[in-house]
Amino acid sequence: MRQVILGLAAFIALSATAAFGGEISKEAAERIQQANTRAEQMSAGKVAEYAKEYLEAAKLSIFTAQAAGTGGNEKLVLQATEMAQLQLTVAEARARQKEASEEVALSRAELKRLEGQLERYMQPEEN
Amino acid sequence: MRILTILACLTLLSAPLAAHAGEKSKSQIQIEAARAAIEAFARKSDENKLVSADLEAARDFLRKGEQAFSGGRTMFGLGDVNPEASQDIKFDTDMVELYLSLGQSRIDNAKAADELVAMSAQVAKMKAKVKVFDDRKAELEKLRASLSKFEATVKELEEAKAENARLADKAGKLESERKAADAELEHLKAELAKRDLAAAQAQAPTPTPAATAAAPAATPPAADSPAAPAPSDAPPAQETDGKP
Repeated sequence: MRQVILGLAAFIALSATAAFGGEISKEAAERIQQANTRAEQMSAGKVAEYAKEYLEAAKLSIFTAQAAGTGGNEKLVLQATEMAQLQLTVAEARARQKEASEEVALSRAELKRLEGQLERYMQPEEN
Repeated sequence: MRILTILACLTLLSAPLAAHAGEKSKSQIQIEAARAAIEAFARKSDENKLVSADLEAARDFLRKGEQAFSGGRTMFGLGDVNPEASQDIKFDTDMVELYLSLGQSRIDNAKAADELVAMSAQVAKMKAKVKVFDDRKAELEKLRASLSKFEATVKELEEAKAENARLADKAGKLESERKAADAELEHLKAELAKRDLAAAQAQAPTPTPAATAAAPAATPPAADSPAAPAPSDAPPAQETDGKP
């Protein structure tokens, strides 16, 4: 009985693969690879810290593209990889913006500290 | 009866259509939202050249979405679009949103960069001002240290002067004492000489009248003359000077 069930499951799986698992073009596969590589590189940098949500969304799009590639849905692969690339670009831009904002905040704090120091110098010295 | 049946069927058929007539489909709502977002962003960015490419890309995707909506509509234009068109519209409107987000990031980044440049200039200016005061403060500290040393030296000098005056006073006193002692010594010497002379005169033999007669022309012998030696108990002539 168990062997029959396993045989049926294997048959169904093979049938599904045969039905949906078509080949995608080499270009589509390369796009998935490129997006994946870019996402991995960005995960190791500051983008992972400053624009985590966009990076996660891009990874989800890449996962969608991979799943669509397994199913042979080339159109969805191209759409998902295009979206993933744009999400990664947005993540980079957000990260740059947040980094610049942090630098501005640091400069502002430095300026405030210097102003305070100058104000203290300008005050008459107490003896 | 037949007419009533037909009317009832038509009413039943037209009711859902009428219900859908006033509603907008999900894809239509997505497209309209994307269009509104593009218009709002275009107004806000005020044709900023920095985001013109992003805005153009967003408009392209909106057009593709609109085309997908037109091409994917079901029979009679009622209800939502077919699943494939719906997926395309979702993709296109998501891309619109992403391009607008990218454009907004570019604007914010440019603002932050400008602000950073201005802030850095202000910080540099302020640092220069503070440095002037820092240098002056350091100079003041050096001067204070020099003043402190100078005051200590002056104090030492005052103490040395006071010590000098005290020693000079003491030396004066000692000199006075020495002079007094010298005077006393001279006085004592004179006194001693007088006493010695007196003693010598007192012990010298008184000349007898016979002796005086025997040698009337002779000079009386001097006390220190070898011809007339002093009595043995008298001190030597040289000791009468008071010298040891």
